Amino acid sequence: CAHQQVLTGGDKFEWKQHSEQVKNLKSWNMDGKMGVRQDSKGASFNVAWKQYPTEFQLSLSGPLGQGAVSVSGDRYGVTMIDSDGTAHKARSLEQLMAENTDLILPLAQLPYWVKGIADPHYPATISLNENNLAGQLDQLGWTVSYLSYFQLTPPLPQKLKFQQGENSGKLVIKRWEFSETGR
Amino acid sequence: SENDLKQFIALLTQYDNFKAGFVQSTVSNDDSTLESVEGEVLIKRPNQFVWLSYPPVEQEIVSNGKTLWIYDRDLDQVTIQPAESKIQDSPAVILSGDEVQIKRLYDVALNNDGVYVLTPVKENSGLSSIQVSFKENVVSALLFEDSLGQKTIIELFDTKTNVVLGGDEFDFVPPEGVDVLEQAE
Repeated sequence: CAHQQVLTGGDKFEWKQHSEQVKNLKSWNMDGKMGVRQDSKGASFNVAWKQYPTEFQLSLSGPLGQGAVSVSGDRYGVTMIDSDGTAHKARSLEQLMAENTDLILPLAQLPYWVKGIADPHYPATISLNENNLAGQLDQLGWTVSYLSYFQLTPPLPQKLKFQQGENSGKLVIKRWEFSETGR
Repeated sequence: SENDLKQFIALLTQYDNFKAGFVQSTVSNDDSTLESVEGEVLIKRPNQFVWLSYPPVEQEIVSNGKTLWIYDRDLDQVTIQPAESKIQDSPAVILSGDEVQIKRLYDVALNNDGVYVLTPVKENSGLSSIQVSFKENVVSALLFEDSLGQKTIIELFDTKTNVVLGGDEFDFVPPEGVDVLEQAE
């Protein structure tokens, strides 16, 4: 689809209605790039994310396409296939991450944060920006800040950062794809 | 075979440096194009290169043979790693014709379409093969196929060899205000 336009300051939304609409958006695709940092160490990878109501597929690939890792999950559990092609299974994303990487990445919350809302299963505090969309979100010790949004219906984030102490990440979304019905 | 490897290296080492534009597309195993990006590559044998991908990837990879920089403009982030680290299956290593690296990493076989097929010596490298095609004795395309059946095709164009170099192309200087990090494993 054409290059997606970025929201300007003038567009105003109503947070309650917006966050409800985004929460009901359960099927979407997103392509972007993520940078992660743990004090002086870091990495960057391309992100291709396909989310459905009860399952997801996520692929993370290194700069030259090498080191591709894919993670898929449904209500029964999650599976990670690493760059050597070996599969690792786990009950939850948290367990999968803990057992296989020393990367601290809130993968379980990211499907919500990436849309500009909090994970509804946990308490969160949100402060709105000039468009009445999430400007900053604090949840589970992480601080998520939203730098720009795409002009979509509903508007969705283009750039966000998330931080917890020495662990931080930046996500730049290149393209969103979702059906209007969101199912 | 040994002879195919010799011929392959001979083709790649006819020139001291190599400059080209590229179109890189990733194709999933059901042949739908996932992502494609254009860019430029500059290689000075044996192990110096600049691999610049334009938006939307917006990434520059530079190696001076000792240090490798990955600059993600869109993330304002540079990660640094030793040049010989695991970026071995990258197109740059192939294009640089580094015989020691190529011989260590791949078996090379010339198929009857005149395409050199490199298969990794190491079993589980996640990569199943690299096919390197030539046109008028200069590399014209590389096709990487991984163990999941996903293909990355790199087509080269406007290829020039032995261009005049300024001498500092391969020493990357991180721009002001950018996070400079060591590459995490």
